[in-house]
Amino acid sequence: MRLHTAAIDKSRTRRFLDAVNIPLLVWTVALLVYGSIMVTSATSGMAGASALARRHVVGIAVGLVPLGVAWLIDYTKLKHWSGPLMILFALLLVSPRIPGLGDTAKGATSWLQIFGVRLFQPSEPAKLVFIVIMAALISEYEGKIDTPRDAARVLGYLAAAVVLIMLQPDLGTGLVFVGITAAMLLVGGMKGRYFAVLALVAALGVVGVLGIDSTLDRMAGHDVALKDYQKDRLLVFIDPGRDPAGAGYNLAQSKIAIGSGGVSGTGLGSGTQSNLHFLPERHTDFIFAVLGEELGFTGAVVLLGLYLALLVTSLAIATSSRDLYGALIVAGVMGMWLFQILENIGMTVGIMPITGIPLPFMSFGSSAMVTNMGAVGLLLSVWSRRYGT
Amino acid sequence: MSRDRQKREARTRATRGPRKRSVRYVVLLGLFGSAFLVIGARLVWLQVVEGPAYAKMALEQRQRELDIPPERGSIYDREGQPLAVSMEARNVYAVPKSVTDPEGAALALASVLGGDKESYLAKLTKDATFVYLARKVDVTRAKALEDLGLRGIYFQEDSRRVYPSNELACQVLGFVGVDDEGLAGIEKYYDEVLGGKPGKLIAEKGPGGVPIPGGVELREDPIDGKNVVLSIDKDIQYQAQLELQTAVDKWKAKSGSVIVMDPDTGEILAMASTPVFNPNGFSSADPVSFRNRPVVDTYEPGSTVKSFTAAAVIEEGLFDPASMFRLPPTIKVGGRTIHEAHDRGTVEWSLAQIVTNSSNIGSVKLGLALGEKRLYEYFSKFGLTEKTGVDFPGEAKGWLPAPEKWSASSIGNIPFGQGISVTPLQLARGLAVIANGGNLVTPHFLHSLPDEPSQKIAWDTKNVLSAETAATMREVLAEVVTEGTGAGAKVRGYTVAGKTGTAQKARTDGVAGYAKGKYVASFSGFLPAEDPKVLIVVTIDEPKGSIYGGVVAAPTFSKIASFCMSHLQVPPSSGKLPASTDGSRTAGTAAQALQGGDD
Repeated sequence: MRLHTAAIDKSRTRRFLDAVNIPLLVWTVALLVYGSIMVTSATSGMAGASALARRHVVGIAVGLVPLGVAWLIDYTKLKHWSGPLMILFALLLVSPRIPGLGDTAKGATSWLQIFGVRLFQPSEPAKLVFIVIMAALISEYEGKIDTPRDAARVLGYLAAAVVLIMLQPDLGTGLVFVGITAAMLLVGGMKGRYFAVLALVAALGVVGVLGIDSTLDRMAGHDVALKDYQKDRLLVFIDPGRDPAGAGYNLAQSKIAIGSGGVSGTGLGSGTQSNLHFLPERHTDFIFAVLGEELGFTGAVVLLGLYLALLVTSLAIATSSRDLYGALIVAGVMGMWLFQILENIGMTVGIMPITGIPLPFMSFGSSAMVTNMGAVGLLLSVWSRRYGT
Repeated sequence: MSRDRQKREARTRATRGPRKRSVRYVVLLGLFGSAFLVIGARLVWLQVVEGPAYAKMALEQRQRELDIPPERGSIYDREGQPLAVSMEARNVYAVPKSVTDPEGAALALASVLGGDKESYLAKLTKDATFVYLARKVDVTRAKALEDLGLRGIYFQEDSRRVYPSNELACQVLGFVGVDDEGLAGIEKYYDEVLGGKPGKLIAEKGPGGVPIPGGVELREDPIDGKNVVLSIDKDIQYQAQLELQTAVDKWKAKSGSVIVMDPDTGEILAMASTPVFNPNGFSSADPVSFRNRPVVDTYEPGSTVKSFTAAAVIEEGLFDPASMFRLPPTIKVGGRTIHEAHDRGTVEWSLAQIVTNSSNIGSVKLGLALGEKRLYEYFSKFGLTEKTGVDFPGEAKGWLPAPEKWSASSIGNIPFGQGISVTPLQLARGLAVIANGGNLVTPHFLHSLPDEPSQKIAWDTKNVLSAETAATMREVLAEVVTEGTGAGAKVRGYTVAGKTGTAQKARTDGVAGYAKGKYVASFSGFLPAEDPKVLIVVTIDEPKGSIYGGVVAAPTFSKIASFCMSHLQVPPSSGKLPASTDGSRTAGTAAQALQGGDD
């Protein structure tokens, strides 16, 4: 495959350096190393600790495949594959509901399994598929979404995706779709006023849904629509003193962990919150709490710095994109990462509601890892083709 | 196309198309920035400002301070025989969340520890982080349970109080609670000495209180309790309990008590009460049996106090034992007619005869001669108006109002022991004044603290009566046994001095007056009369069949006294009995003795 339209006097090295976004790779590798260290530390007290740490590294290695494939594929071609991609998207989200294929854990059917062996969470790669589909859709408007009709169409796609994900149900991923769409609409040129209206509608919606859901539950006499644990998480966010031993326990322990880390932390592997098992989900959703405890404010600032660098680099790639479509793909990835970072860290420090969203490149979990590395591949694909294909 | 131009063109393409894109990127960048600022600010708050507070919370939830119980001191009798000892034991507890097989564990617990499987199962499945399954289990059974390796079940070191002689001196010793705290008796009174001081252990734990192996740090060693040696003589105590129980059974009495005391020092050699209990299983015993009656129960002493009235008039120099009195069959004082216990005609009796025959009317005459104020003064000197100060919890104080509060008829009954109340120990203490030559001693149980030899134990004693009066009274009281109402108290080879008592019991139903047919029969005395080594007070509450102290209590006194003399290897009295002042009255007093005559 050709990476350059013209390369008259360029050496091989030069061409390679042009195709590769060095900063992007540096930040990604730094995050992956950082994450591996934290996962190793967080799992050190668990049964089969070394196996878990090894699985994390294997996940990274497997992630190199989608990274490479996405990089090599000419992203501009994807624009014409929206139909099949929508079918793929629907299949991914519905697959866990197919009898014999799904696996239910903690009230949600989010895993694909065959003969009792868990394969992956289809909702993770579905995020990338969603980004590509939405990019094609929004790019049709060529940077101007000025009528309510156009906005409604885009939001209709989003609504369809959210409905599909709520079949599992997976509120966290649903919110990620919203975050992705918001970033893409911003870059895709939706009127500022619409954002304000949508934000207002969303805020009213949350309050309304909670109220209506409670009423529905009462009328039906059992738990319909939103699961009780989901509602609990949201309500605990609104009122953390609600049930400190139950749903509030995670948040309380997470805050104790992060707070007790202080400026310099307790040292790698020395976090008592993590090692004495006070902290739940410490290698997955609450990995940031382990980092905050063991490496302190310093370690947390380093991580935030890496994320900011990753996002700024991504922004640079978006601006350098040869077309709106490419910029929208990058915007979608940025929206995904930014939302997940904000939501995940936010919940561990008690400024966002608790939902099961992993921290990009840090949390243990191969499905998310493979997805995020695939996203890096998409970014590289846009970058490499900034001068044309 | 040069590379620079190419780049320029690309940039133009990117910025030209949709016009507002660059602005939107700035907005996006602003979003990143503000989002990261919010998180950063939150982290500054949590980690820098509130950091120390959270660190403290983390410490608190993972560390638990545990008390290490000290070993409780032992209690010995004066010969070094153990009366109460502590043995190593284990507490068995569960962390229900860690119990993997509650059914199996409950079955194993029931078979090793005994008890009901269902109740263990209920504890094991309880929604709690810590639950005791059994406390103070002996070491062998705990080991057997530990060997089963049940998950979620843990052991804690503790000690168990054991009373090797079971009922022996049970009311004196008392007992301890589950935390080894003294709850009654000597165990309670000397709790601080016996108890020691717990040590401290800092244990790291995970959620749910699961102890972390290796995460234990000893902060402070426990200080074990000190041993206590009592003045109790185990053999005399045994004999006292045996004879008391025999008498209580024989007379179908409600209860009874015995005090055996050294009159010179106030050391208590034995103290018995019925009914008894086993302190090894006190929780299932009737609390009535916990009463150490000589210290906590009061009664109207009756004629026993006639010896104090007599001692007072002699000490005051009003009369001597030979002084003669003309005694009518009845006497009227303050509008009340006083009778003798047994009707008789008018007699001429000496002061000594008034005591030996236990005459109420004679005692009233002595009392009238003293006057209210001096009578009260002397009763106070004999310790009847104050607590004895014995080293025992919950001592009762009798009741003797100040003379200003007496009614007109008080002087007509107080001199012979009605209208006042005392504890048997108060009475023993008063009698000891006569026995030891005039000193009011403090009765006590503590003999020594072997672990603290430097600590001096001093007991109050004060002279309240002249040695002469005391000696005179000893002779009079010896006549009570040789010639008077106390014949049943005789001990072969020893001169016994003492006084019978047959006191009516006050009604308990709220109506003033005495309960019909309810008496406390007693005998209080000491021997050898010439140099008393042992003072004994026997009281039998509500005997049936006979009510007289000389009949009911005196034989018990005799048996216990006889045992004490041989056990303590007291040399027998020199054949010379105290001289009787008037041989002619012997026949009369013997007749009285046969009737068991006193008030």
